[in-house]
Amino acid sequence: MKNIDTILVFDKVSAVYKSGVGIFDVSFSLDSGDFLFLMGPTGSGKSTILRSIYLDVNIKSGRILYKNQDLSKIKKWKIPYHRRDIGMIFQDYKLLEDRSVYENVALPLQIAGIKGRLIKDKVYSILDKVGLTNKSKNYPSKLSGGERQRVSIARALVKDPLLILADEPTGNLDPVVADEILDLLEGLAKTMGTAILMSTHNFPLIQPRDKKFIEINNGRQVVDVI
Amino acid sequence: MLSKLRYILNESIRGFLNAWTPILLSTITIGISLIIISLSFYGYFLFINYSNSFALDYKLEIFFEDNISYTKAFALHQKILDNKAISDGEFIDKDKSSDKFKEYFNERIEEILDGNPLPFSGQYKIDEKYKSVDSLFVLSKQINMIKGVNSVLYDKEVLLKIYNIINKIMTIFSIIGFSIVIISIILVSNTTRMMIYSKKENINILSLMGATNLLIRIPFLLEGFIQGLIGAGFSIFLLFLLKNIIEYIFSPIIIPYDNNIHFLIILNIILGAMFGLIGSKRAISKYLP
Repeated sequence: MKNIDTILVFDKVSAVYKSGVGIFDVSFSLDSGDFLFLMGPTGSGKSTILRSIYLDVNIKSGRILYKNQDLSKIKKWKIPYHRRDIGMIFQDYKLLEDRSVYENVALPLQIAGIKGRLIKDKVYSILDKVGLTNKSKNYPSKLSGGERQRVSIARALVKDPLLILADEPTGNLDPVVADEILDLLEGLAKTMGTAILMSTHNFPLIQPRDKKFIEINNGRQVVDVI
Repeated sequence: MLSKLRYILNESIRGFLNAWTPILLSTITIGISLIIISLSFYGYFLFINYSNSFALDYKLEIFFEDNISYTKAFALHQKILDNKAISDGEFIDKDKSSDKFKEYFNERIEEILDGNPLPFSGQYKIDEKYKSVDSLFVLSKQINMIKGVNSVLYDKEVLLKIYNIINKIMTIFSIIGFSIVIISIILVSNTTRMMIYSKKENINILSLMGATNLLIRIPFLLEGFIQGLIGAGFSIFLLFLLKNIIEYIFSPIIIPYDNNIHFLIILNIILGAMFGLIGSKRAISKYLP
């Protein structure tokens, strides 16, 4: 049995799409404050691992324990409540283009039904952490790629999640900005104790860093956690 | 809870403002269908009211056969009075007929024809419950079959014409109204579908952020509901305008019948909201996961 700080456990998990592709017998665990990279080429199954955590793909076999709860047994109507508990960052940012930075970051709190005043305090505090306080009224179309990803990070952090899933968050950014984003995420993981699971195919980006990673290829785990 | 309500309301208003052209179109269509439905109802009420007042003053005139005696004619009069559809009646003997003849022609019939050939007759009022075109037809047939009754007269032609005209108008209005109701529901549904398509990415993001199906769907339903209410407002405004124009042009010849105005307003609001909700619900069920 894992200790109480273990956020996520993958125990021989297989999750397969209709086409037959997916992930097979993937096992790893993630503790509070951990920063784990999922490495592998495009189409290797990194995103499937992340999607199986937020239950966007069916778990065929094995167990995913999130805060000791078996996600394969979670009822369908509970999925939205499970997603509220996790922070998500995407390569294409997934920002609402018709909302300001403030509104985008406030969105998860509004969905969770948090009171307006608390939302305001929380959003400004997070925007301060990612350095976007002065851009709170801007719309995503007026922001650079790096700034958009910061908004996405702020939106993921605003709920104080125990786990952040980052799917190729630096994929659309130039190397300098990608490094900045990675620094930001690492810093947040350290200071806030949030566990981060990040997929990337950009090995040179993470090579110089003090890192833990697993490598995935053709849906299978080819290198265990290092 | 309050925060979620505010969020839903904001989402609906935002959706409304983002797609105001198709929304305007479906709102106007709802309004037009409500106007047609209201006019059909109004026409129906007007007919009921008019035919009632028509029948109120109407007296059934019954003429007995020429060769029957006074006693026999009076017995027939009594028998007719016993009919539950007759509320009151007056027996008209030969002398009274002669008096009426003089009233109309200013001469006594006996002076013209050397005698009084006018038959015994009676004038009868119809009971409130039987003041309808159908009842009058049945009643006149019944009385006509009584032995000794020669003819039963009432304004059959006029009543029949009005009845037929109103029936045709009602049928046409019903067909047009029904077609436009269907069109308006389809238009609301299409508008909602367009909004769903244009917000597909947003819906996906909301779902990833943990929005429940209900939280995603309610703003669309609310948009349909608001479209229906605005359509109802549009219809009520135009009906009010129409009423005032008719009053202005035709008064005092025609005074619009006012008794059902409140009913029509409530009907417009309820039907408008219903059309909007049905339209958006149809699109949500079809196009949202």
